[in-house]
Amino acid sequence: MAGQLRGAARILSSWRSYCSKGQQEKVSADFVEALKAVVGEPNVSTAGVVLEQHGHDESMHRCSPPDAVVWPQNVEQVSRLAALCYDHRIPIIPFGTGTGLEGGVNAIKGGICFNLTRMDRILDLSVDDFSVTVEPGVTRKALNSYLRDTGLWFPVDPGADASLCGMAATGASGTNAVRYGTMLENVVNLEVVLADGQILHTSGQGRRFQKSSAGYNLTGLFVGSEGTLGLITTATLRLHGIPEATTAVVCAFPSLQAAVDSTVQIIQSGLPVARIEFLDDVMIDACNKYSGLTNAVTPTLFLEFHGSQKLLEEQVQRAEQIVRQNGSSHFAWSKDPEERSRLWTARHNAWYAALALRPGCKGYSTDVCVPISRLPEIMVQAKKDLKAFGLTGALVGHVGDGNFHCILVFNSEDADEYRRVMEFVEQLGRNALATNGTCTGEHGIGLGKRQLLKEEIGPVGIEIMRQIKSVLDPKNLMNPGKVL
Amino acid sequence: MAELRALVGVKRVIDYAVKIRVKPDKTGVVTDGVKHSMNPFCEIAVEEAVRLKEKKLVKEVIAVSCGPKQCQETLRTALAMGADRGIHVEVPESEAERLGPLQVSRVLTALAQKEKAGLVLLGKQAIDDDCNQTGQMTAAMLDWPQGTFASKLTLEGDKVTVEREIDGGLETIRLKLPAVVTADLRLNEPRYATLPNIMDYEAARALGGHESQPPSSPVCGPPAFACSSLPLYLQLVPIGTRTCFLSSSNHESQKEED
Repeated sequence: MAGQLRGAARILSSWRSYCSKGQQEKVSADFVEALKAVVGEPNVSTAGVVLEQHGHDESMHRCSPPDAVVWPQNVEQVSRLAALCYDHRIPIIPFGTGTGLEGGVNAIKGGICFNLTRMDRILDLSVDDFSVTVEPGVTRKALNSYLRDTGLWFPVDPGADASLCGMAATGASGTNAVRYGTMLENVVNLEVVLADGQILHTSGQGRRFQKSSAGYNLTGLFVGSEGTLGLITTATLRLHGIPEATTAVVCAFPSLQAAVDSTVQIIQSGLPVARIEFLDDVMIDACNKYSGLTNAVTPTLFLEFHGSQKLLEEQVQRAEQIVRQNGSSHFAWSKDPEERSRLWTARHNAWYAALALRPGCKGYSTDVCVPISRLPEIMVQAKKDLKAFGLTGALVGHVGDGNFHCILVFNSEDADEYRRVMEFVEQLGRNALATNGTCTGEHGIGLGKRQLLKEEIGPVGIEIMRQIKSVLDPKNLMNPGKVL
Repeated sequence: MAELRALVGVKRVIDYAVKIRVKPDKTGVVTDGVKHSMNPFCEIAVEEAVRLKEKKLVKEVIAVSCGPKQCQETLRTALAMGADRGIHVEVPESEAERLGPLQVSRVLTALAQKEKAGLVLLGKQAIDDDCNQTGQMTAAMLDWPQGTFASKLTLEGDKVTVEREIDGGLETIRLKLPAVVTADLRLNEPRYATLPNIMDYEAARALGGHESQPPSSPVCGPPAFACSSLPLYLQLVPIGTRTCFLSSSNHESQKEED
């Protein structure tokens, strides 16, 4: 086990990502006592298993445990702990549900992991204003369950049952983004604890408006900052009405090109589709096996429409016209909630279904987003490259946004396969940049895409980002080694 | 049967996601300021009734809740899910603690007879007391057949086929209507109340008047603007402490001691 870790570390560090085992003895016993004085003894841990659990997320980046984990119970404690770390120059790593996909919580320079999930209140729900404020311990499923008899919901759905504040930190998106937007459009205000312990309200304390022109957009700055600018301790969210009726549609296509062309045409025709998901034949096969479905093993689109009954009928009809023109052979739809749930669970379990294709292997999910008009070409190229590199991979994606994921399943102990995976991923990232797209649609930069970020934004942009970072975090203590 | 009326019992309980805390004096659990919502199994019962109405097998869905004033929130959710009418059997807060399956069964029995219901749908149990008794007692009092722990329900003519989840597996029985059925987890996935439906209810309430009407004059009236028309009829029947029987002739409540 240790040998594999060292081997992986060599490979990873040769690929420009800096990993080090947390420096031991960095955090003194006195410091740990000081932490306990703030939050209470049961809310600080240096136990090996706990550190390990907090040193990784769901990505394949090697675990880098922090030096200690703390569980603050309110924003005052977070502020005091941050000030403590600031005085002693100890890195601070915010932690929510650990469901990230880019190694955002890995403590590559050690430090204190702030597990914020004990702060789990839902505050200030205003049904009339379509707004609610949540603490980091509230996950999106918990919020929607709480809201279920108000007629409102929070539609951003990245698949995992993630912390909403964590979703704000990574700028999460998901299957519904094509209609409801991503976190960026749905976060109205944030309470953030800065590296030195100051508490900032990005839109002003307690404010929750639908729009504003007041000053610089600080909320937008912190959404997607991946814990590198501050710790998010509450998020005020924009809620939406639960759709009156929902219809799920599944259509199979003879080729990837036909499926993606249909997507482009559906979007361009102005149909307000709520979800439009693409699964290639490899992915459908994996989902069939994993979830016991019987879909035809061929590139498939899953669509979902929200609206009133009448509107739905019209939308489904128009969608059917478009897909049939592109050669779709099989068009099935369902209004039944159990059936729709089943279909979407299969799609959400895509990650696990793909991993199950080769048990014992690790998975890596790419995440590029390109202009919709360039989507067909880049996906077809990705499929070709998978073959050329000899890799097992499935394509799945929120094609309505021009965003797709290639889930690669590989044997991490096979150094050659690992190298080919990394080359493929870099190639795909560069292809996306070449089409004026982005190297990450929703997962974030984290540990692994810092080089691509430089290429994407350009030297002036990167320098501005660095300057902003140094203003807010002059000692570089907030989640060091990520994003920049 | 197009003439069938479904009576659905809904109970207001502490929300399933809340962390329960015991009161410092250990006499119960903390309920003040704690989120309450409809018992999850009651949600499933309401959903099933509404689906039967959508399939035109049931003519009218009547939701019933027994308890203090706040039960009206639960009834509101039932109406927003698609129930036609809500009946709140009001029990003062001081007495509500002593309200148990026996009392509720008596209320449901009386209402089922008064409303001429052909199907009584309940959740299999409430998540606060886990009694699992109300459905069975109601059936006994009405002398109707019962299909409890239903995971599948099929109405055919004057019979209902119920697939039950029992210890040994699944049991399928066929009951002659009128009957009592209690819903188990896998019967269906309940819909969420949507804003248009909630708004319709609020609008009708605003138009129709206030809450405490004497039992003889029901609060009723369809909404004036036509989003979708759900004629709403909220009838409050204040009752005495333990049992109540509603006389069908003059709508007035009569107190009767045990």
